[in-house]
Amino acid sequence: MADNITMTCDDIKKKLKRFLEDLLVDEEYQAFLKHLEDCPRCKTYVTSVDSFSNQVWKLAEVKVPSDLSSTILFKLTQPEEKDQKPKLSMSKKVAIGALVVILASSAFFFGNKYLKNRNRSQEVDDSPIVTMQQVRKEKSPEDREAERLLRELEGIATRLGVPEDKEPVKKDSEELTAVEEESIDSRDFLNKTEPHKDSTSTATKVNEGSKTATGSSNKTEDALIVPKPLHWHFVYTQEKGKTETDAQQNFSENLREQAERESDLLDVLNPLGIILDYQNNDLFTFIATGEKVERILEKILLSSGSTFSFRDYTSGVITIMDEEHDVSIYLEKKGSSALHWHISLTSSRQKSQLLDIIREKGGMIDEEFEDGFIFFMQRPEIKKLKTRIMAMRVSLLEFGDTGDEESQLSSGLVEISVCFTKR
Amino acid sequence: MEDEKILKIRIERYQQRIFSLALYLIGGNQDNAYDITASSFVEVIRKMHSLEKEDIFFTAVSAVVVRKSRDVKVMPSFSESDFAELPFARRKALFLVRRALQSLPFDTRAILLLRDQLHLLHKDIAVILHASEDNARSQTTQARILLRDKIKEVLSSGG
Repeated sequence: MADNITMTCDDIKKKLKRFLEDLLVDEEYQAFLKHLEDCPRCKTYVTSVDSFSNQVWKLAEVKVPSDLSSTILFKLTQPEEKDQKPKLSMSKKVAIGALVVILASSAFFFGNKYLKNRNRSQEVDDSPIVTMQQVRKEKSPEDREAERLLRELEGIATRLGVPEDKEPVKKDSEELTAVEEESIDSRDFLNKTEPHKDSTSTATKVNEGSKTATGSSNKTEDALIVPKPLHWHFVYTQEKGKTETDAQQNFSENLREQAERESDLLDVLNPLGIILDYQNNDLFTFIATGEKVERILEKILLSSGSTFSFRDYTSGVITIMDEEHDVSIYLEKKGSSALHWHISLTSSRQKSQLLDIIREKGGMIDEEFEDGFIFFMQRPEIKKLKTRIMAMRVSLLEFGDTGDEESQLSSGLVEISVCFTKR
Repeated sequence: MEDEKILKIRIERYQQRIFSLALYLIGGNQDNAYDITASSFVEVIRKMHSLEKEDIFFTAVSAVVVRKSRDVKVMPSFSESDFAELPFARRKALFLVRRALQSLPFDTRAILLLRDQLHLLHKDIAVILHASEDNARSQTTQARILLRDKIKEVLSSGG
């Protein structure tokens, strides 16, 4: 480890070339990085050198969503959700195991007696004697994995101060050794395939969002909010050289710009034979097969970097090629579009709580959809409403704005469209 | 509570690099990168028996991110505005590198990010990518050459 070697600022200058050429041995490499971690001056110096590997390093300067760490900590306090069959506590499993043994033994005893009585000449000695050890051996790998995770969860829950709702589990010596042997080692995470899909993760398979989740048997009062599978923002910026002085002129310029961007968008959609389902100022919705979706994306990405950019807020990134998908595109002018919020909800209870808060704050719900709603609200109240929503421990991503500080104080209804996203 | 504090500090120390790894591995979709990052941290923390082993924590989370990102289909959704606050020339350069990086195969991209962005040791990269240490070392060099070629290609196509 880097603890063996320490480097000074002079060492950094001396070893910089070797570092950039990736020629340092592991200990030096770690000591070099350790010094940069502690010395911002050297870090600035090293990153300022226009080297090739530095360019990849600089790419890391992305903005991390502010609620990431709190989301992770929150998820850790939640029981692990699994796609597999429901978990049984260890004590329940032992009880079931014992019951199986009793039933099997009884079946063997009475069955044998019955058969002997029925046909004494026939030998019936092929019924297995089921022992506790065999019952344990017959547990499926999924059961064993579930038990292991359960024990670890209990450990984590205790460490994080989460009250346990189960009796302490007595580990049998064989399994305890297996667990102890499985201490954290990065190799564990590499060679192991994921035992189950984290149901909160949206990144893996497609359209789980709209298709699978809707048909889920988990449809309770607290069912998951299902977001639209494909939700894009087609963002354009104001052309340079425009003045903000003449409101009327500005308004007509805005309209002209929007019309131009709209035509850019339609230039992408029309040649592919896409017919719009709905179009209203800044919102376009249509249905397209996965294949067409890919072609649209390709075309949009090829034109990006010119007058507009493109952001994908899709809940799942993979589309099924021959299946039809609902697509919504927001034509958004950076900084001055109508307000549009992405709110991540986990249950329909949270949705009704959200609607209650909006009504309580004087908001008027205009339209409600499966994956969102539109409401109107007095401008000065929006900030307070946002604070209340954030207190629900949901994440809120805002697009567009409420105008400059002066206009934020003035009254007037603002239209806000809300789209549910999945976290 | 003490453990929760340590955990929070540790997550905050590494979240930027881990988020960035996920983001570039899957092509720039922020929402998916967020999900992968969060679930990777959760997976590693849940499997940890103590919070003492910080040295392998970062490598372990990186490994899970690579595993989770591998099956995600890349649909680049980056925009130049992601680095809006940077000076024009620097922004252009980064945008170029990013485009070139995005066009590389997954393993090549992963190796470049693990070494040149996360600064992991070759032996750790080898474990993550199921390769020998020597192989990881030579693949890193190879990946840099490939990226350089891609950048030239992007530049010659009008960038």
